[in-house]
Amino acid sequence: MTAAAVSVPAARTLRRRLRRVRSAHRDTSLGGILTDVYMGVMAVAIYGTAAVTVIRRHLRLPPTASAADSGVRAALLFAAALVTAGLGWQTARSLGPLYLTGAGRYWAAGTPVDRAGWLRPALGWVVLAGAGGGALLGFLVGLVGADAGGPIAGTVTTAAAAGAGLAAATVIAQSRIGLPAQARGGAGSDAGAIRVGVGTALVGVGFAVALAVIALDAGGVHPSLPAVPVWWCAGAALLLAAAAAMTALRRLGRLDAAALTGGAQLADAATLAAVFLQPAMLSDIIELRRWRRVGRVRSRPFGRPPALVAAHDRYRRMWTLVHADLRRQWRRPTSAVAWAALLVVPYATVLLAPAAAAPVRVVAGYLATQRLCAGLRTVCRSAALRRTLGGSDRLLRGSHLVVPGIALAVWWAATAPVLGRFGQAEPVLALGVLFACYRSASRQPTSYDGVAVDTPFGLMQPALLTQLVRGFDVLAVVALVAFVLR
Amino acid sequence: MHGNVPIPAATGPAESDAGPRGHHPNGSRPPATLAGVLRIRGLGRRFGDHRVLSGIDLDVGAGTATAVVGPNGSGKTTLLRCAAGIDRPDEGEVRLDGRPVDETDPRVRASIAGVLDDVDFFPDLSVVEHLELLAFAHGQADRVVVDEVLAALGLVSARDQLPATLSSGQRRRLALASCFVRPRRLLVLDEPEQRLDTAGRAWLAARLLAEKSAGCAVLLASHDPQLVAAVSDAELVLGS
Repeated sequence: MTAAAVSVPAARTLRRRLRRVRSAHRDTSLGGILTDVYMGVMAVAIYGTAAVTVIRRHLRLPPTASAADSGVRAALLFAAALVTAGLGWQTARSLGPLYLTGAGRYWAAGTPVDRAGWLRPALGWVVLAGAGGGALLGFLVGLVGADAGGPIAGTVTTAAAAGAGLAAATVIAQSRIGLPAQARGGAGSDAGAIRVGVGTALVGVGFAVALAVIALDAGGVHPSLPAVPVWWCAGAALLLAAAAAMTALRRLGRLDAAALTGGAQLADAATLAAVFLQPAMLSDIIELRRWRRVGRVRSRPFGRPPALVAAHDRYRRMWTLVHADLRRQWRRPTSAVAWAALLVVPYATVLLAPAAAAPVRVVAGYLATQRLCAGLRTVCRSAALRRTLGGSDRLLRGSHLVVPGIALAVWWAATAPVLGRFGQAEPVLALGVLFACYRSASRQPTSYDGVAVDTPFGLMQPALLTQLVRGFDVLAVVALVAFVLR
Repeated sequence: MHGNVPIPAATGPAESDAGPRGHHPNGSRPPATLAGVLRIRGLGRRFGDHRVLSGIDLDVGAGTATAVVGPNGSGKTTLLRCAAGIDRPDEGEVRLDGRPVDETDPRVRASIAGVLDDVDFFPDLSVVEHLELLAFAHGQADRVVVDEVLAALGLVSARDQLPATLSSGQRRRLALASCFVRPRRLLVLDEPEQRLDTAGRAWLAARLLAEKSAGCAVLLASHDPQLVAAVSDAELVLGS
């Protein structure tokens, strides 16, 4: 065998060539780009200013009565930060966070061109996005007045550095350098499988901390975090972020095709879902990936209904459908875990901002129940499936509301002590939340054939908006009622 | 900055004293004993609890072709993806010229040309621009190669078309063309006969025979018995 040395272009050279060729076919003018930028900046300025005003006026946390209250609040915010970081980690790892499109992988990154050089700009964008997201969160925390007396600039800097560090850390996790299959993401994980270990741990610890704080507070013990100057935190976060970014930079060359293409499908689906206003495009892919990871399940016959039920065709059918829905929940344990974890939210909110506890409870109840509506969503969206299952649509939909309904009833009763009373409106509010879940789950594929109306913001389709907010509209009304009745 | 990547040049058939190749519990037609390019041992892959491949052993020598055959869902594409380094096996090892197949290694990317189920196109690049980009990225400065491949695959009239305007057969031809405008040591093709007309299939068989003659190793999955019979020196039967 002979060896021939081939001169491969640098990543930057190939990128320039690709950009030049692609731009030659585009008809986007510089003026058009500048107009888009101008519109974006204007929108951020107008709505951002309005948001800042609203937050300062209505959402600012009430001043704490004592140092003990302040300590509890700080500890709960720390727990919230952990949960946010965990969710951010999971989202980033679902996408990669570095990913290549099919075309990019095949025609450019799949060539002998330096892999690290090709990915370097993408790493920059990921770290920048992490820093931006962190800074925004830090700014919001500062706005609501929970910066524990420190300067808002320090809070923003700390959060931005933490966001950048977290983003870089997800890239390090993505590289999974030199690990065997079992250690990379669990046996049998498919290419680019979501690595949820760290994210789950962060969310779990966050909820555990919140739970501990709530329990201690109920027992008369007021925990507090050590008082560390915010700029010390910022310095430490910056150092950690820099170290993480450098490590990620060094590992870019170890990112293989399997790691880089796993999130592409999800990212493409997210883009299409946003462009076409079809959230189902994204949720379908997430479901597909979830069940692909499961792979195989143990099939068992559904239990025989009792004689009273078996005697009626309608009840027998319902019995089987509810059993199937229960089995579905059993195979999605994360939904049950989320349902239980969200129990903590109203109890934490009543310590942080008592006035917001009632509406937050409504929203948390919706989130806890909505995750249990997978069967309802499937049945509502597929006319073919409904025809195959037989029976009336009302029976099919009603059967798939049994499990979410019971779960919501238990959840609602378990969080009733938050408000210290159980008024007559409680069942009505719970039914409202269930109705919001039903409306959300029964959302049909978006239709674009509605009438357009000329508004100051341009042409809009009211029908499009009503389709998009289906479910959330009822939720907003219920939350408002809960706020008024608090 | 440009980098030099040593590409093992394709060589002609050479004798080897290696033992039987293409072993699989389901039975296989052993290939000729030639210098090994691709060596797979004990390969296993599963999705969740679902085992797709288990204990696969396979050798593909220089100047030989091995066909992977079997029904849908038997793991042909997964095996090819693992062989090309696009997917990671859960068990076993895949070696190319004695080195583990690591897709992050530029030498591996330079040596393996593959058309699997993942070929996508830039919507705003024409047929010829796709091929020129790939040839450039592989350090192939000679544009004549691109013109020759376009002519061989009957894509001359479509050279300036964007992918959205191509028929599925033309897209398939473009994907196949991408393998031949660049240096290669191992060809990995997943059902290359798909969407090709009769003339296209005949061209494909002739081209693969020519690749073998030039010393290139070929690993293909196919449902076309005629193509398999015409091209392959060994068969690996999955899922029987």
